[in-house]
Amino acid sequence: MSTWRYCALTDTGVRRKHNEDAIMAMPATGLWAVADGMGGHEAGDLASGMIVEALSALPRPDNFSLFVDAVEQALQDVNSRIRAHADHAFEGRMMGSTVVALLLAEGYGACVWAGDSRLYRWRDQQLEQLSRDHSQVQRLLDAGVISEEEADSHPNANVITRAVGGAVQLVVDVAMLDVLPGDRFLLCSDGLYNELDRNALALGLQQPDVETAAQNLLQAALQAGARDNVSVIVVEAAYEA
Amino acid sequence: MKPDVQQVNAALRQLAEEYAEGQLSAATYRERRRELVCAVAGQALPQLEDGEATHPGLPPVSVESPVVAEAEPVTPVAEQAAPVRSYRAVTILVLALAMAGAAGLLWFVFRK
Repeated sequence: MSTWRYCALTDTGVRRKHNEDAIMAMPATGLWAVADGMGGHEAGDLASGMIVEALSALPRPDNFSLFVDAVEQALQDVNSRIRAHADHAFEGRMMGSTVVALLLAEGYGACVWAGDSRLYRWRDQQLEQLSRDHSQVQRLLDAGVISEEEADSHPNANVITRAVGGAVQLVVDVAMLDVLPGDRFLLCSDGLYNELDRNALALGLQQPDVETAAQNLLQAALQAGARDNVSVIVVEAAYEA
Repeated sequence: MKPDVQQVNAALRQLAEEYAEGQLSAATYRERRRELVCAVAGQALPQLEDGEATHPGLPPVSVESPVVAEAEPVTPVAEQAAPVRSYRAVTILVLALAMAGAAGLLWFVFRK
């Protein structure tokens, strides 16, 4: 039987007045998610809240591909609702949210995402980013126009190209992943990784338990200035092979 | 033997790009994605009935669902069992309230 240990934290940060991030954790279903809302207070937190509410209501199908379908379909539905709400309640102003969702089963899993909230995996003292940002900077990186060092300080670092509520048709990305006992996964909003480099993320994930890891990461981001809302979920595969 | 996850993910990215560019229908995109996911999961492809191809495992969710009503208090939810006349009355009432609110806001802004 699969066993997952996790810790999920979110914080307004140092500079912001409201928290437009939202998080959800459903270990019985094998589903965790972080959503980073945009569009200002009332719009951003409503958008991210709609996402986590929809995902929290999902049942777990026996077939994993149907689970992936269900997560995608829930996000599609929220996309339509956000756009309808923005049209009549916010006079068409931008309202949306990124999302990164982790779906787990024993031995494998999937990442479903739109935007620049991220999923990392910590295994054998190595940190690997499993999601690829839907951002202008990532496009430039993929095209070889800029280097990774230039990407870190690029002025358009926070310009994203996909979001739930951002377009009539939402296309999420799906990536499959293998899961070994002891693997740790980190889901986070950009408020975390914009303050902490990879070494700092790795240092945080090395802690003996997921609670200490998540709290250390959050505290490190706050101490670094936390210009944005910060959300952190650390999930560990605690079953034996 | 399970396929290489990196190769599967490359195929998934390609599928998503083709779907985003309109080269694939939603049904075809999801069918091919299921094949790739099931290959990694080591599960058989699910047998879906017609009509479930794009909405597997969930009942259809409309914009007027009760979940939406909780998030959008200003929008009346059209309950399927309500009479048509009540739905129209609610709509007219909401429009009247909106116009009154707009008039009040204009008065507040221009009162000086």
